[in-house]
Amino acid sequence: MEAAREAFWHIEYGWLIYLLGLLLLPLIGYTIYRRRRLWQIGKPEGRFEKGRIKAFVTGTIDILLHKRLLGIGAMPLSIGELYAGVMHLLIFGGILLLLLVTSLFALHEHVAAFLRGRPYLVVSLLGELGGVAVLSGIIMAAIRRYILRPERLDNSLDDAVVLISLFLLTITGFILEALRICATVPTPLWEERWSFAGFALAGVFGLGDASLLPWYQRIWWFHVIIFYGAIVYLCLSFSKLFHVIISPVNIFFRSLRPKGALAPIADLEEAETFGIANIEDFTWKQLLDLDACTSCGRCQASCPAYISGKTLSPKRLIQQMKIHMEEKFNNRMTIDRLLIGEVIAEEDIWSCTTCRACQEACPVFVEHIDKIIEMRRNLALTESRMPESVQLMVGNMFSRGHPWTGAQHMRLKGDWMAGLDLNILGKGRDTDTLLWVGCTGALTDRNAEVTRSLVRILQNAEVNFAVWGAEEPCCGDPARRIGFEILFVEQAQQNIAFFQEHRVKKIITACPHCFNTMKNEYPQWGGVFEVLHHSQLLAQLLSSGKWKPTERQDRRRVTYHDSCYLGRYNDIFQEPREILHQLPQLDVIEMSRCGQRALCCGGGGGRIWMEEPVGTKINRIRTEEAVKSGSEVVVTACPFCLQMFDEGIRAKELDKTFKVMDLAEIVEENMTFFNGHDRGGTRFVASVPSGHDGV
Amino acid sequence: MNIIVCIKQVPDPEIPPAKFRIDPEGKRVMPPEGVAPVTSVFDERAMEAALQLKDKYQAKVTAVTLGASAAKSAIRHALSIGADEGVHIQHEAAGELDSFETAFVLTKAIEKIGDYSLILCGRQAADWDAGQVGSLIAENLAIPVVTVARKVDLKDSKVRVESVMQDGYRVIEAPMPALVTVSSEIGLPRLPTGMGILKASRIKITNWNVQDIGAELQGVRRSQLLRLYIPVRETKCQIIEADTVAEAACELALCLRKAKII
Amino acid sequence: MTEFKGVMVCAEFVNGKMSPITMELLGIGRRLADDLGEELSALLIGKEAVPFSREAIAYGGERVYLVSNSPLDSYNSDAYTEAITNVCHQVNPSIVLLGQTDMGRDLAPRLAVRLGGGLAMDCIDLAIDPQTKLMLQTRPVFGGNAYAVMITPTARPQMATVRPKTMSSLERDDSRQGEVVPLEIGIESSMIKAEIIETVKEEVLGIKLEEAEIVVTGGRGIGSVEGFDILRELAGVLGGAVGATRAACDEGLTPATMQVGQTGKIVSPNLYIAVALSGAVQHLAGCSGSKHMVVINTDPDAYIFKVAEWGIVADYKTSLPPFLEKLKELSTQ
Repeated sequence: MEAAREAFWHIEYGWLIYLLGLLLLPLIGYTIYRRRRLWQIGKPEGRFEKGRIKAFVTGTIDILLHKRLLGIGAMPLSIGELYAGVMHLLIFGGILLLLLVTSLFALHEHVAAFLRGRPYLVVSLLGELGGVAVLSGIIMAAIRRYILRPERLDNSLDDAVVLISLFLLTITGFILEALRICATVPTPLWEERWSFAGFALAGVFGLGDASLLPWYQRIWWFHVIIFYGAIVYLCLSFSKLFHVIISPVNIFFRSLRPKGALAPIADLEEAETFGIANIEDFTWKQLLDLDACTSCGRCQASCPAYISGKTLSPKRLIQQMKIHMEEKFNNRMTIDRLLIGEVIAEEDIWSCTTCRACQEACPVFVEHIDKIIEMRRNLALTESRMPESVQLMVGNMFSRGHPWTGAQHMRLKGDWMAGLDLNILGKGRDTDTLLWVGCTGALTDRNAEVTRSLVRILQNAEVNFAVWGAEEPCCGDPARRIGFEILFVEQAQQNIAFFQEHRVKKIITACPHCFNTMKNEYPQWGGVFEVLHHSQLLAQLLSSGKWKPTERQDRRRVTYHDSCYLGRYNDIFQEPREILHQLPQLDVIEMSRCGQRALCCGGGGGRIWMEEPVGTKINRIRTEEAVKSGSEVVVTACPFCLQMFDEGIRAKELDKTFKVMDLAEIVEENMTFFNGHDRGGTRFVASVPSGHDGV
Repeated sequence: MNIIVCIKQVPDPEIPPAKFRIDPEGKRVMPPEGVAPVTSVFDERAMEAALQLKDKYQAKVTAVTLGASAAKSAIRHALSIGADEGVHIQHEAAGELDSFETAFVLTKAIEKIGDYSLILCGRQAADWDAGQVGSLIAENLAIPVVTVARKVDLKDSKVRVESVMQDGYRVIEAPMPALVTVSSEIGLPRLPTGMGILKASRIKITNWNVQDIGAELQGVRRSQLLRLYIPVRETKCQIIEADTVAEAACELALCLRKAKII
Repeated sequence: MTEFKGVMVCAEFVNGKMSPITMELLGIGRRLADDLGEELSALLIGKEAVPFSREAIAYGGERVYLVSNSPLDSYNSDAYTEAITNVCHQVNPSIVLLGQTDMGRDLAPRLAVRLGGGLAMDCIDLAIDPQTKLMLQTRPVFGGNAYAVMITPTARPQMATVRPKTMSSLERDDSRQGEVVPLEIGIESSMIKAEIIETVKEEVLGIKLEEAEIVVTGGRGIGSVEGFDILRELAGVLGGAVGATRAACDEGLTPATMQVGQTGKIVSPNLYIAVALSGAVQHLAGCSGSKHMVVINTDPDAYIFKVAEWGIVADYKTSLPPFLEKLKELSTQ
């Protein structure tokens, strides 16, 4: 006889499940409909733009491959995280398989009976694998949640109900299968071994025992009741399990803006208020985010503020907003609280370094940073309520055009140029390439050294470029990141006009923040230029032979720190490493948290100008990590990171054994030039540091 | 009630001392390239005091400046932080007027503006540091003056001022109209709000020249600047270095003991 | 046509004593009067002043005008302006000097208008030009970055306020002869518009800044209110006083009364220890009279290093504790 299975075998009234299903489908639909009404309280936002279809497709692939959960295409995950990723893949994959199998059986039953013989065996094997996968996943999950208890998870009733339901469903599924096998024939067909788990279990119960049939029937109905009961519970409580629908939708509608570009304020001129102070002022997509979140806590575990003891937790931010949205608009009795101050602490809004670790870690693409920036805009522009250090910084930007308060006592913006032979834009040789120095690179002593180093490299590599000079203003990024959008817009427009007037086509900068804003945000105001970070340019010059690494005898152990605005924001991870790996003097060691998972230095989001009274200082934690890697030097490509490491090294009194260098500096120490010039030739500018080949 | 605030735009006082340059012939300071003028620190505080009163008592605040065309930006900023009106008395050589001439022009402008209860000025300007103009204006207008305020408030129809002293402060009450000069202890100046900046760009600033206000400067000057020079003040500093900070600190203590300073 | 002759000095009294600025004014006044060949007079106001007429003469005054009506017993801007104006109209001095003090800088501009004179504030040097016989007034401007030399060509009197601790007083000579002239000045109560309601003195713990021989000052770089504790400890061990820069006061790290600088206190101690401050000229204006200066700062390029004698490039948090320990050790030896 051909292997097959009879539907509703020995189950009377089995057709009731179809009725129940019909009754419950509306419940599910209604639940989603009601939830959608909540999102619609938000402002409209066009997310059906060009590229959206492609986003759907890539999103689907991402989900199926579990890219973020398994760390595919990024630096390797820790064992704990990999465990969680595999666990989810098992449950996810298992359920998909089971759904597939059940659908095929339904088709077989009601459309065309094709599941006989080999097809049947294959499908039942798939079902088996699915069930085993789900069961393993659930057990892994339960162990993780209730025994291992990782810090980033919090356990609620909902979690328990879901886990227990799924466990019971899979277990009863296998039991049912076993019972059926037992009761079918005294010696079951050898094909039943394809249902290996059920078969094994059947051995336990006793093959060929027909007295088990009543148990089969009871457990069958029990299985059904659990299933439908769970669904009812999940709908009424709007369980986290709805993420199976909502999270993919959220992923499909994820932002297609460049990662580093904040959304501008629409209609700035006519605006009456700025930023967001009420939950209903967010867009529908931003509210959808709140429901897509499953409280997995990956964001929190990677947040530098949270790690260093601040009260900010990206997970709690999203969850609190969700609860607030529900309280304010879902119930008959609306509970209204102040979004800023009561739902979200003001202090938390300022604690964020905008490092994007949360967003890159989030498997469902929740967008945390936009929400924080919108609230900052409200505090800065409408309420005029900012921490004093931020007020001083903004005040300085108004009166002196740059964020470094007190710097003017020591340096002026043109000071770094002393002794260098520079081409001033508009006043010297014609060129379409501008070297943008940035406020930090001009005004801070340590960073001015980097600027000078880069200039010497560019001049010796015969790059034709000009600088703005002593009048170079700020790029505007600090103003934008702390929410003072108006100042940013003014500055950006002025800079763009200046660049266009002087026919600048290409901009090189050593600062990832200037780089990010000019590359990704200036286009919002019509300023489209080819913007290069110096790590990219140095890599280009190396590969085109404009400079070559020298041979040195001494060896040095270095580690590379990925700056957030270069790495996570603009996916520039390889170029600096390529350069370092090509310098034979260097042994490049990676820190355990590197690449996409690098820990922020603590300086982004305007925080380098703010006080950090709570918890440990983020930069000190990162300095420790750099030292622990066993290296002697940490190389960065960002002026803020440089400052932060410098402070950390001095605070820990490690300056005799450990130091921080910019990529330009370590390149300059290890380079020689070709292009027909003698290595020891006169092209070298006199102020090159000693130890350099040829001087 | 109407409050008038006198503000002055000055070369940035935060120019590094090593970069500070003067033109001895023209007897004026030459700010380095790329350094923009700023509103004098104490005038910013005077503006802040006025806005604190506006917040509390619904006053109308008018910002007045005597300066070259660049000074307009100082008025624009005052408007963006909350001033209701702005007056710019344009005089390209305003920086060369002495305190008496400056006070005279401002007095005429204030008389032309007319209705006022309180005039606020910074205690001194961050360029010439004279600290006279506020009191001179008050005497010109024959109104009471209270100097170096750390707090300004109203009490019935009087202005109540906490005036800074070397070792404390005095509480002084004067009938209005009155003039108060403001010191830095009043608090940090507020920043523009988004609305403030947008509103400010729409307000029309009143422009006058000295003829418009009848301020003929003939014979008003009393002081003459004979010479402007930069004093030589550098000494050679001995930096104490050692292997550790603690050792350097001990070295320093020994140095001082050896020099019999401690 | 009024003839203006002589130098007049407005005396000040504090805590029942003639304040040091008065002696300094008499000192420079004497030199100016001698150069002009004219008389030096001192104007003493208030009941408190009466016992000091002899002292004013001993420090160089040839004539002492004593005004002691009751509304003038304690300082009041309107009353004193009225009184001094009145006296000057009677005496017609060619030069009037006050201290750049709470009282002096409050009164001087008002007097200038009432008397029709010219005025230079916060002078650090005064001299008589040999040719023109005009008073040359040298004062710091632009925060102290530059010095200006001014004259008052025609307006009379030529007025100046003098920065404390810049002029030297004469040796007290009780044998000096002089005349005491009591004057009755009628001050109607209607002349007094601005009334002093109360005077609040802030407790100064320990030695006063202006009198200390050792001053330890912290800047914005101290970073916190608690950061000043170690400076207080240091000052305690050295027997000195603690000051702060305007930036530190603005940030709320210390009360404003501790401010040393152009608009704060002027100090001239034997030793000035500048901790975590950059050396803005406005601050240096307050401490440039120090005989010896030591700097502790993390920034080796800070301007303060250019005006100091010794320095350590380090964080105060790591350098002051061992410094303090060593000082304690040395003090027991």
